[in-house]
Amino acid sequence: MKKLTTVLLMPLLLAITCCSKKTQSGGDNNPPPNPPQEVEEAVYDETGCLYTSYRNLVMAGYQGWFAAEGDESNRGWYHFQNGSCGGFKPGCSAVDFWPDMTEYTKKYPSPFSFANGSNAPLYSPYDEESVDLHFKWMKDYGIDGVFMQRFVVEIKESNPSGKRHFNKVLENALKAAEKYQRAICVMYDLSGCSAADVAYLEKDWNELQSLFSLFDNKKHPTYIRHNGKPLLSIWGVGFNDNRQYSIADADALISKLKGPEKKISVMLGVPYYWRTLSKDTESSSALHTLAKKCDIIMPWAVGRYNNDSYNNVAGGELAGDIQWCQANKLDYVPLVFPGFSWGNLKNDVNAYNSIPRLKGDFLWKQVAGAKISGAKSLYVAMFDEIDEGTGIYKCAKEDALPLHGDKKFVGIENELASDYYLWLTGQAGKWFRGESGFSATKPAR
Amino acid sequence: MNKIISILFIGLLAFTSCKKDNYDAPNAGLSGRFVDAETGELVQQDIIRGTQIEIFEHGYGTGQLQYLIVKNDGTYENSLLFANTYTIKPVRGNFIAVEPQDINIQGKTTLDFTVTPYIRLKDVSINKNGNKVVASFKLEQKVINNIKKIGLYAHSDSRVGEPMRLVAAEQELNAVSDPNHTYTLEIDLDANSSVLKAGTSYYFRAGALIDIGDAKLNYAPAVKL
Amino acid sequence: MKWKKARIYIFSVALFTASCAKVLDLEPTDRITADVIFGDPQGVKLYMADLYSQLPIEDFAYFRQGFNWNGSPGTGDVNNGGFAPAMSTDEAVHSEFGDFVGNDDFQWWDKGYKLIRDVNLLIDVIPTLNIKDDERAALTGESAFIKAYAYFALAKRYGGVPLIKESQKYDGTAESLKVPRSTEKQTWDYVMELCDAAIANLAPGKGRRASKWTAYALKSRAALHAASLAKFGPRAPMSGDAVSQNLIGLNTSDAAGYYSACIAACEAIINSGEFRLFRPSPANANEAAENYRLLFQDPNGATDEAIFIKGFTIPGNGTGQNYDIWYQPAQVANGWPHPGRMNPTLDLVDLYESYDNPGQSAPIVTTTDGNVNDYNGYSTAKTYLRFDTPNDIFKNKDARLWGTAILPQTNWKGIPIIIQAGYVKPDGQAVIRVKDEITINGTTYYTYGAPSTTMYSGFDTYGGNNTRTGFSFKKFMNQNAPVVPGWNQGTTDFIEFRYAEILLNYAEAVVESGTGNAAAAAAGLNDIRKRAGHTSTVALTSDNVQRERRVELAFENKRFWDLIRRREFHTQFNNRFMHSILPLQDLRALPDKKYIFVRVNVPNTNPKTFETRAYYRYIPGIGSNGLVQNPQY
Repeated sequence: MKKLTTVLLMPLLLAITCCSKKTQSGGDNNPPPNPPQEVEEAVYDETGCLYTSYRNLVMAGYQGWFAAEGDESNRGWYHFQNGSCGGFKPGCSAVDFWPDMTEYTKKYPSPFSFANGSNAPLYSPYDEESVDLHFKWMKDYGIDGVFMQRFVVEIKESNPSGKRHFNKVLENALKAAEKYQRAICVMYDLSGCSAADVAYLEKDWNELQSLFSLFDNKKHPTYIRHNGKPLLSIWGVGFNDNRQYSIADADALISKLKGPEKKISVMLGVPYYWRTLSKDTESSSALHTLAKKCDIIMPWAVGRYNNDSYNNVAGGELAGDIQWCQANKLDYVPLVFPGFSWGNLKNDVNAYNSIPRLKGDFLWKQVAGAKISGAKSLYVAMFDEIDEGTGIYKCAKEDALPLHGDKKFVGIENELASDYYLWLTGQAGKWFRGESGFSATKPAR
Repeated sequence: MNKIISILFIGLLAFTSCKKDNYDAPNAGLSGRFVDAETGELVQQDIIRGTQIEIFEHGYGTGQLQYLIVKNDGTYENSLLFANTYTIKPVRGNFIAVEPQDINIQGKTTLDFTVTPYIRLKDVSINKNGNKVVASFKLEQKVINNIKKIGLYAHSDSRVGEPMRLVAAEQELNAVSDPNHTYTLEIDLDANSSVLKAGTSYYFRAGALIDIGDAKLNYAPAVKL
Repeated sequence: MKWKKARIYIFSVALFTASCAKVLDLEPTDRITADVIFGDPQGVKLYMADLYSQLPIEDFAYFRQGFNWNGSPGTGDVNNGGFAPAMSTDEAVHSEFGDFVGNDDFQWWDKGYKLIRDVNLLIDVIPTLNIKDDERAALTGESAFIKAYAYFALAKRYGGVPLIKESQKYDGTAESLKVPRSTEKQTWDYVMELCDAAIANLAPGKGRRASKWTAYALKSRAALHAASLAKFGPRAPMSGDAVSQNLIGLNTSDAAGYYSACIAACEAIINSGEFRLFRPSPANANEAAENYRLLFQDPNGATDEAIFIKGFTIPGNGTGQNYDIWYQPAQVANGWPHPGRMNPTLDLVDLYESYDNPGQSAPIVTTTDGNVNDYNGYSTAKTYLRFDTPNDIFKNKDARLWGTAILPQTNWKGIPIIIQAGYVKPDGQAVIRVKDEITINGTTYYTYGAPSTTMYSGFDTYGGNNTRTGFSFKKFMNQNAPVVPGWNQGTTDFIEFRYAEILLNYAEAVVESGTGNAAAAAAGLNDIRKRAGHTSTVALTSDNVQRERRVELAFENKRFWDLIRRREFHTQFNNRFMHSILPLQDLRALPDKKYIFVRVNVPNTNPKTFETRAYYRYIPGIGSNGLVQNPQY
């Protein structure tokens, strides 16, 4: 389902892989078209396009997976609720952070209330106005845009309500992106897929293109382009956590999506140790073969380090990754995240703030580390992810949290404003867009 | 392993030992250099416990790796290889990790690696000042990691370095270096008179170690004093 | 009853008579042995005795060549030069060899898996034996204990290893017997699991066989080892396939669980009330030193402290040991040609506290400037402190120093052991480590303190029989009888687990984890110090625990693994010289008898460096067993 792979799980996962040797042959199983035909490469009109490259941009991931009871999605408290403890009520939730609801115009009363007895409402991304607000924030704070997460298992034909939900959220987002001139891109998350689901992705992608006229430079001038083609991101290839699909499946899919006419550019979401094929990564050079067919590499860094270990863990990886990508003429986008917390999701009090935010020190350390190492762009995980507590959008501060029975919520540090992480990400945006005055020292607000 | 495997293995060994070795001697070789991508200079190394080159000969199922060592000056050579295809992978180095390369080695084959050293020592001076040898230098680091330590090493052999020294003056940094700062280290010759004999020349070399896994030190060339 | 070295040879014979032609004719051995051996309870007992003899106990017969290096079947030439495991650490140097940790040292692979196979076969038949339930539980517990012991010994050498949890059946293909390595985490967890099975099935009690307490003791040691690897692994980062696949290495987050397992195991022993320190309250330091010596000279007089004793009861191949012949000083060699090999280092001696300054190591100060880091040798420019005897300089040092090492001109077996490196002539000229003599006013003085090789024990390179550090060896040595000049004649027993180690494990686990009962841990630490004649207490700190551990457990073959598990070997040994002290008679003081001392690098040695890869041994035979090799081998 989610991108919950953390270092904690790794020993077990590794153990599994090392016991069962997998052999893969990359995408070479597909016989080449015979005779090879000269196919004309796809050319797109980029007139009016505001984002023709991911370079010099700071973009975030956008989950948009929440639903509120009473919204039109009819999905209850989807992703706020936690099935392992009985739903969404004091003492049970999937989220650690609580959105700062001050600016939302459409709110739904939740089963939670504040210490003063007043109800703690929530938003639903199914509502146009809520997504609009998020994109307004992006513009206000200088975040270039977002990658709209599309979980393949959530949009399968067997899951019409999920598909309806994510299509509606995407529709809201496309509209807001155009309105606020924010970059937008679709990102498929393969987690939980079978090999057949991976293949189904192509069908969904074709549907999306026609449904929304995604590549229409007039209609969607902010749909991001890269290397002269609309960009699509495929996330979750090469992880060694026993996924039901293989690198070969992903390779076949991407080859088809690109097609001989190279219809799109692709950002590949890979595990952190993708280059050395170690630790969280399947030990198969097929991953490198596939990577070279793509345009951008984005390794998943959530949970791989904390503030103390960042320099030691990330220094060598960043430098090596960037060098590898340069040598192979690929773009490279490191991931940064503000912190990590999933005490409620895991029903584990020790998992609150398991990677502390440290008032932005941790986030800025990664921003500076990436910039100084030579990265050109950033992927921020995530805009609105509060199940794992990586969200940067406005969340309630520690002193303004709803009551939570015998559990608790984690808040933005009291000394900060609720928009601090939006602001800090915006500062990163300025630095990556080329403004001066930034360094390893966290900017003062 | 299980005993039965041991038995079989002993048996196999016995068999092999009965056979006459009628294979040709190794007749191919591999040599090359580690070159700084920016300066074009050779990247200084350690002769022992330094950067290694893993070489894996294709076509043999044992998974056994061979290791080549790199000389102090950043060159390497092995003239005792069988002609074949090999995967060559520098490991545990003092430069940003480079990818393994597959190469067909026939006769004398050369393979250079263009690398970015983790740290460059700049404006290096090593001088004798009274009874002290003083080294000063600036540090330019190419990765964001801390610098673990800096050191000045002395040995009678020109291949002096952290692992090969009679005397060392080291300073723990455990911080990102300041590119404008001049770092200074000194060795007191009198205090080390039993190993650094008066009237004898010794080699001195300054180095710095990045805090990345089992990375190795970066050096400036050795100086004879 | 001491468990003796009763051996059955069926397996080893099968193993070693395999020849090229016969290999394929061999019947799987399990069927044969099950019938023959397990058919009657006496056979099981015999079999169990054999398993015990295979236990990887690092005792007096444990050398870098392996276990039971005392003429036991399957081992090589007993004459290994007497290079003890302590000499691969900073505890001692050999009087001749300059060796350090070599690739082939301390291997235990084939024999480890042989023991595991043997114990698995026993486990197979336990349910079928016609015995009482408590006997069955005891056998089950002992089997788990032995297996835990074996996997602990493998894990600390190789990291993650193949876990053969049940006996394997040979179905005609070797491939089916191949088991890949488990991760290091899984391997340690399996050791913990086996310890728990042993604890659950074994009865409390004392004796020479495994009990609930020995199982707790094993768990205490193994859990501390694993916890330390997890905590201190980042001190020595490694890379390579085995690392990438987690076959070696633990996460720092794993430390907490192992520390708490260690704490719980220690508390079970401490709270049992079954054990206490031997002679815990000495009247003075002299008595403390003698008590400490007696504890090791005959552990059987200290059964309150000794939790598990390995017996060397009978002189002879495979049953006796060779510490007395190798390590007693030259003067008492009794005709044996190779004494005096164990030379405790000045580095170790420095470590012992002085009663004047508790809680601190007290390095031996030899000069008025107090510089203890000057190893440049005798210099007329320096002013040396003068002492009345060659051992006055060690006065007030912790009793355990006096109980562990023979200090210059202290008595051993009724005679003063002469350890002198030279003299300074009245004219100021020093003559050091050269055979020389000078007659002044009718008295002749000798550089080595006496005229002939049978009359001194230090610094002359003759035969490699004399110490070159200034110290000879006392701990474990039998003072009661003359050295029997022959192989495998020593019968001093070895304490594998003793209460003091449990207290030290406890203190370390508590202080390193920051959890548990710090007051109880500090009390245990100070009980040990009190037994050593200390009258003040020290705080529970990591430094205090480690210093205490090093002096208390010196030469018990713990130091090697302490350096390994705490990942200190490569920093402690980076171009490191070990050090000696040279006692010199200062003839300028005549007619007064005065001695001065010079701190030097151990003569004729080279610096030692520990290679990071040696934190793990190489796995033998990967060409056939197909396992992933440890890094850099």
